[in-house]
Amino acid sequence: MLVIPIFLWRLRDDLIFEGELELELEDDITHVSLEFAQLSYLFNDYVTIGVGKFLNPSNYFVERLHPTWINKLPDRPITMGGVNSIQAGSQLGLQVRGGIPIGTMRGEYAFYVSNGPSMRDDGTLSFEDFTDGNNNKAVGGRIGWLPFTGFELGYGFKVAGVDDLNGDRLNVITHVIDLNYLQTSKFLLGNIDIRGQYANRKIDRSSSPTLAFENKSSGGYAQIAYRPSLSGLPLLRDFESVLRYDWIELPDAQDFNDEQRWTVGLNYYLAASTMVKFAYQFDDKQGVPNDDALIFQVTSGF
Amino acid sequence: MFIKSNTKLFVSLSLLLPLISACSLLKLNQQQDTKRVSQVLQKPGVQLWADNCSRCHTMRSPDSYSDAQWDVAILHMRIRANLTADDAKEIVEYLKLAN
Ligand code: HEC
Repeated sequence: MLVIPIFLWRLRDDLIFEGELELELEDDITHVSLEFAQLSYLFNDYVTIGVGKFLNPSNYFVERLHPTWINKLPDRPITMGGVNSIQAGSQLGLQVRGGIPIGTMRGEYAFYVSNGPSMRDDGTLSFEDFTDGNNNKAVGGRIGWLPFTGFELGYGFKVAGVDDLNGDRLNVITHVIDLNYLQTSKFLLGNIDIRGQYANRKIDRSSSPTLAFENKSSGGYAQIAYRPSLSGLPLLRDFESVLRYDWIELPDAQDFNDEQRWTVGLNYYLAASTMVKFAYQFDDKQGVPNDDALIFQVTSGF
Repeated sequence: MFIKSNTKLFVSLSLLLPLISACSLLKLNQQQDTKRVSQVLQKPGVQLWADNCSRCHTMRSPDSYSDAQWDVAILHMRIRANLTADDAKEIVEYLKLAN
């Protein structure tokens, strides 16, 4: 079981602290980890400055959709977790962000400097960055464009350096695009929610013999959800169905297995932020026998 | 929690929800909806609230928080969602009127 308390503390009109712990209760042991802890200062209408450990601003899913009461499926897309994770979850540093009106359109931005990732011996990256292991900073950001209500297109990036087994410095460049579209209409008898995110990461080739491959990863997800919230049948209004495709392509080397999944979900909302989720996942992973599964989750937000 | 089982029925049901809901079209009670919407629409900020606050998660009704709690939540959302300062201000004013 997972309990994730969030602390919000408004110190002044222009100063807010947000922190989130993750408490995992497993058998008799409780694991505690810090999701994020950030102090934000509203410098003016267009610029907010944040310092601390914050959710990765170039990763729309992680920053804005990952909490279980928001995420419409019980698990995360493959690229967003585990050893092969392409993008960082949260990171320690400083960020500058804000929203900008452009007539009836909206624009938004976030730029940051943070501790960089480090490289594991197998060529994958670790984003645990509480101490700056290699004395190299990562720089990244995201810009988003909201041309009309319900639609947002974003581009994010991150540039960092890591040291390989030999201690050689390698560049890591990540590009991300995300797309979000929401529409509620009488014609649809409810709302549809379409999301997609694609990330592509390239690490310089290492001269170490065990890492003699092109270290490129890419992948993402596309998801559509439908909730008949305006249906004439009250019974249906609190149900939601979801379909997601997610995939990851890893380097052509031993121990890296590409993976594709289709996940079908059915949710029931007990309240605005309390839901029961069922999902069936068709998992197709290179070199691994059939791994399909039924997943179940109950979640409640604050 | 992972449970293995044969769930063809489940998968079909999930995918059929849009169809099932389309069948309920005839029972749509428009009158009621329109009345409620026009009452709320008279308050400023309501459109901004509806447009912005459903972008990432389901919306909570204004009365689920007090004025002070909305102040904190909207400040938090302004930062997280990169809302413009003006939009955030109008939304919080609406929420405090409507709660
Ligand atoms: C860009 C996505 C996004 C938008 C737009 C957004 N929210 Fe949120 N909201 C979140 C996320 C993510 C959380 C969870 C915060 C966490 O736990 O880290 C959240 C949490 C909340 C909470 C729980 C309390 C809190 O502050 O954490 C409330 C209430 C809330 N949002 C209200 C709103 C309202 C009102 C609006 C419209 C102004 C809004 N949200 C717009 C992403 C969004």
